[in-house]
Amino acid sequence: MNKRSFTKLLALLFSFAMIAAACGGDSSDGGEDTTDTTAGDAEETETEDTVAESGTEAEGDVDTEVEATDAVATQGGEIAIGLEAEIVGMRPWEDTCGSPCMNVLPTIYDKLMEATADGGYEGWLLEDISANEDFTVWVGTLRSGVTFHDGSELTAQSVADMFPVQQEGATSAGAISASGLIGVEATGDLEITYTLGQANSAFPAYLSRAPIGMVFEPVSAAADIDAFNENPIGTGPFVFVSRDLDNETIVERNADYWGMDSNGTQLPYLDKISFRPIPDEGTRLDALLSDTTQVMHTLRQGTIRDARAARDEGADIFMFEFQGNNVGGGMFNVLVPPYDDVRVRRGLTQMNSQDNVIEALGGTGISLPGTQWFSPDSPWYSEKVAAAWPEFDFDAGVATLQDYVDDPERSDGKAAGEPIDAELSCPPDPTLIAAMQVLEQTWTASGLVTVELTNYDQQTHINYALGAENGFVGDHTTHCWRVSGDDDPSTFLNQALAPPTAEVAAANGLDGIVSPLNWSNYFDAEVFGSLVAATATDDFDERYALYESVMLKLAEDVPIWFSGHTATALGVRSDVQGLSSWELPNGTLGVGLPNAEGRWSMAWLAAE
Amino acid sequence: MTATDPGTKTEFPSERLTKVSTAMSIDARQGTPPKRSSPWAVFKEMPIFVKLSAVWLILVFGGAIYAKIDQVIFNGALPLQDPNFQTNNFDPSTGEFGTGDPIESPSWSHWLGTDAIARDTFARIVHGGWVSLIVASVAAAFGIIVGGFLGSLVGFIRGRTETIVMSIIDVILAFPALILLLAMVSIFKVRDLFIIAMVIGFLSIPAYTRVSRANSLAISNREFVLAARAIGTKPATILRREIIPNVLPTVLSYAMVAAAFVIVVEGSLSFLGLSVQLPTSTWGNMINQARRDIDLNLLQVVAPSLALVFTVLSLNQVGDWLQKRSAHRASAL
Amino acid sequence: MGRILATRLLRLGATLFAVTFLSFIMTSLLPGDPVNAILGVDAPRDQETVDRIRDELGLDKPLPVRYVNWLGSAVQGDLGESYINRGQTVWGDTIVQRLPVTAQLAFMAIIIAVILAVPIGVLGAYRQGRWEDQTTSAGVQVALSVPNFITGIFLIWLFAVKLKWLPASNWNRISDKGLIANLETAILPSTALALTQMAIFSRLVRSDMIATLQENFVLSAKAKGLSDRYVLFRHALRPSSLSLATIVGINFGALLGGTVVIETLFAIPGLGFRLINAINQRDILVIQGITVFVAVAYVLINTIVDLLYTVLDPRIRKG
Repeated sequence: MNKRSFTKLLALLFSFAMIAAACGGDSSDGGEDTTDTTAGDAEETETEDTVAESGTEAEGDVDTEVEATDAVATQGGEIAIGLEAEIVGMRPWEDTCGSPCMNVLPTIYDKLMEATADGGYEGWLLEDISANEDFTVWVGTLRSGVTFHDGSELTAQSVADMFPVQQEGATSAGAISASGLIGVEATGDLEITYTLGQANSAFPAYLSRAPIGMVFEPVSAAADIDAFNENPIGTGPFVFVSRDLDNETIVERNADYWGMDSNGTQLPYLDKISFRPIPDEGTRLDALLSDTTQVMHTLRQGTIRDARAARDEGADIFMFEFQGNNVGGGMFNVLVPPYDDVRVRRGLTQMNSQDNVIEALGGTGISLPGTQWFSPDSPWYSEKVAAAWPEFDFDAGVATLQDYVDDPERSDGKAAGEPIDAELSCPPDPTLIAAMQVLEQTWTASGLVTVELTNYDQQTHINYALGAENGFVGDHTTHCWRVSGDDDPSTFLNQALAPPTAEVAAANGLDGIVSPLNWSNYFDAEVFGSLVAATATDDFDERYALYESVMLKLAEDVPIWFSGHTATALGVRSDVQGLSSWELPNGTLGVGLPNAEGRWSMAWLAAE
Repeated sequence: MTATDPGTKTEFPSERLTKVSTAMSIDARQGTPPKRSSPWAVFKEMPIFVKLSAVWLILVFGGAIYAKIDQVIFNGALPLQDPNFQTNNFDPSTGEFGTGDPIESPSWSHWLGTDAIARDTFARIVHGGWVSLIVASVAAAFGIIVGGFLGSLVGFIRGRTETIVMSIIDVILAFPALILLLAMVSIFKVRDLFIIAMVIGFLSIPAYTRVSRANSLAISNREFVLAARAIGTKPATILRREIIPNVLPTVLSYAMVAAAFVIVVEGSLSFLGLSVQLPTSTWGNMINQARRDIDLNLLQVVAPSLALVFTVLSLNQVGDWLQKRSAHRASAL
Repeated sequence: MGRILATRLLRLGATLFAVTFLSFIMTSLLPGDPVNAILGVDAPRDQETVDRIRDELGLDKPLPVRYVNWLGSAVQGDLGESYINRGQTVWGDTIVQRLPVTAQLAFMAIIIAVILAVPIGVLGAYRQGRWEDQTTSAGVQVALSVPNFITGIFLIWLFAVKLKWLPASNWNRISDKGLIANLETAILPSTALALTQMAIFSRLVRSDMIATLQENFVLSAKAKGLSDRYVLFRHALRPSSLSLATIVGINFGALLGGTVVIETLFAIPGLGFRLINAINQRDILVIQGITVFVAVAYVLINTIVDLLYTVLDPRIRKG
């Protein structure tokens, strides 16, 4: 080829690519009408009467609700799922298990309990569970005829044998002590007795999470935990095939799975799933849009916004969104002046323009402003707390803060009239940083705050907040944070509001109870008392009143400021179905997909 | 040259590039230092594309300096929007919320539109030039002063000092540059522009040392240096009077090309979210923030990308041309 | 020759010692704690568990002891195990698994670059100063000036999202999915990497060729009436290929440590992506292992290139 035709060819190739790109845009525009009628929209209209109470409607158009569907699932097919991050490992008791991991591990391991749409817990591998009067002994009965992937039978003894392994586990040891569990015994072929060291009415919640709720084959796990990581054995709907760290984890249909859907069809529907960690939010969405993956997992509403925009332009995708108890904002370190003074915390919170923060996070029309730990859809949500929360009122905020600044006795040792210092720090995610800059602008506008923005990577951020080096006080002052948990409130609140340091514990006669997870270091004896009381009863109204009182106190003392509830989502190619509306074995409607945790045994592909 | 030197062992591709022209210029030079000419005369000599490049550089860096003066001395009073002001957020001057929108299209009030939190993109790009300018200048200063001197010195005196210095340089070069940067940048709790510039500056030293050493080696064997030695001139004097002035022009023109590379490195760090603290705008972090919205407004990605590409391109153009010119002039002597 | 080899090896040893020591110090200075990465953000924890994990990982020992222990096993080929992904060895499960991926990317980038660079460089030299030369030179300058992450973003946007010709991520290993599926996922990232390399190579080819075209043997070949193309590719290109081969070798070594951004963008399970993850999780032994490996590879490739040069070019051997 001579050089002239070579350059011509290059030019030709390039222009061809550009034209094709333009046409590609056209054709997907044309496809709009066809895509919109498939998948979730159909579900939404057909079954509105069965919408469960804890549906997930935010303002604007949220696609998904937890609902039952009459559509008949089809068997077969395989999908690739793009996850936010690689999971740490395949051992539920050892490896920390966040949202990406809660997509992978439940395909291999069944949980003993499962969360339901109305905020309760029902049996999954357990058929039922009940407690004695003071919630210190729990007795559960296992489902019969369940086998591990290696063919061995699941018995109560298997669950009892898991306990010694869990006591040594990196993540399960903490969960065991938090739940109060001290002993697990097989009291029958299928009967398990859990003995607790203290009352815990929310114990079943712990049996629905990875550290102590997931059932693994205990003999090989005890023999060699590293080998078990390479060859994990559970009873789950899928069987582990292979794992290529940072690239792909493959699971295949468990042909002997015990689970059935309501029509008597054996679960799971899919033949094979490939999990792909794609940390870059942009690439993960691009992978979905290009059908490189069929599912995208995201915890960022900016990505949800972009995915919605792509959908509205005709991309063949559907968003399963969930507005859970996942609220973003930040926290003050109340052990560090001037944040030990409620006027500072309150003033700064009043200067938090929630709508703008949500917009910066990309959450306008996706997320609601936050006033408490619980989202408006949660059974624990309280209108009273919402009314008590210090809403955005710039002038009131300035007045509150001014009062502190002019106080000659102010706690930070500065002269009266001098602005307070705020080091506002966030991990380097573009949307979090944008949100932080919104706060900076309003705080600075008051003329009473000198704001310094910092961003550390995630590990540094956590380490400063945790403050393991200085008795868990931490080095942070004001800190981006996101609190979340769709589990029973006790599972996170009892950690987050426990005595932050040994000194605080001793001063309140609570020796030995120190929680590093109390990030804001806020402690109030009455609040903690209410939290403990709430684990001693399973009466919903009683517990609701206790949690409401805790939230009211938080709205008054504002150790944590809330910006907006953050939606999480699974974006799917429009033929991927069954994620939002699935049922437990006993027919109860499941919780849906909180924290973008899909229940993949229920997913199926609609026929063309 | 010793037998151990033929390969260029460096992480900086631009150094490899210049190696060829550097060698050419050295071989061609016969001994006397080239004459100086005024910047305007040099500018007039430039071919059209190089002229355009020079104009672009003056605009970008001039704009960045103007923006900085505006921000620091005049407190934003000069005509340029505040790069960090969110036009939809609470505005203390009016006591009300602004009426701007995020991801606006270009208009008279926002020439390049607005970004995801309704800030003026044009102002952010102009301000973004400051980080590139500082990083490039500090790297060049470190490189020329420390690297240039070290290289000239060891290329002239040789011996054990050379072995030790070059071994240290080898160690630094053996680390993958980006990895080293990531690690060093992560160590510092607060990453302000000063720290970033210092780290990148430090990592620029090896490349400059190699370039200037190669030149110094060649010059040390020239007749006028040998003659000076023969008549008993002090080594320090030879270094000062003969070696350094002759190494400097090559190192200076190398600095242009190296600056282009350094700007790309800073861009990569920014893209990974590891460069200067926000809200300071850099072209890299603008690209990183806007690429999420690439389907909503392509311009928000394209504009900072073009600013980065044009600047790097211009530095390469001008740097190359200066190198060619010095080689050409030397051979004409 | 023997002496040269001996001094090279000595310097190699010293360099490696310094690299391992410095990278150990540096990774240990990173703020943050691997124990937090192991336990996660929300897991309840107590000091006992934290201490037990520290003890298991050997993090309770002072830094110099840890370094000496690490070095002791490293010289026996044992680079330790990941703190986070327990049971994954740094050598077998990390470097051996991931090197082929990064090496393939680097290799493909180099191949694409050379295929593009040679004709462009030759054309530029052949038509030196004319419009063909000026256009290609300008194009090459632009290619040299576009950072690879920008190229990557636009390649994904165009070829994956808009055209749907190629996948946006999801690396396929040859061993699992076959060569075709593998190339599908490799082509975009390696093209993003290739552009800069192409610019470097074609500039080198062009300037080398310009010099060669002035030489007598080329002029005499032309005088014999051989066709331009024959002269260009059979006579003139050959002398330039040695320097091209050199820079290809060196840049291949440099690319092994230079694919971090592209691997992160495309989620490719190579050394760079693993390294970023390890830095984020404070997985110190993995950071250490990869850094040292890349440094060693780099130094070795350079040493080999140098020695080859010594063998091939008699002038240097005598000097």
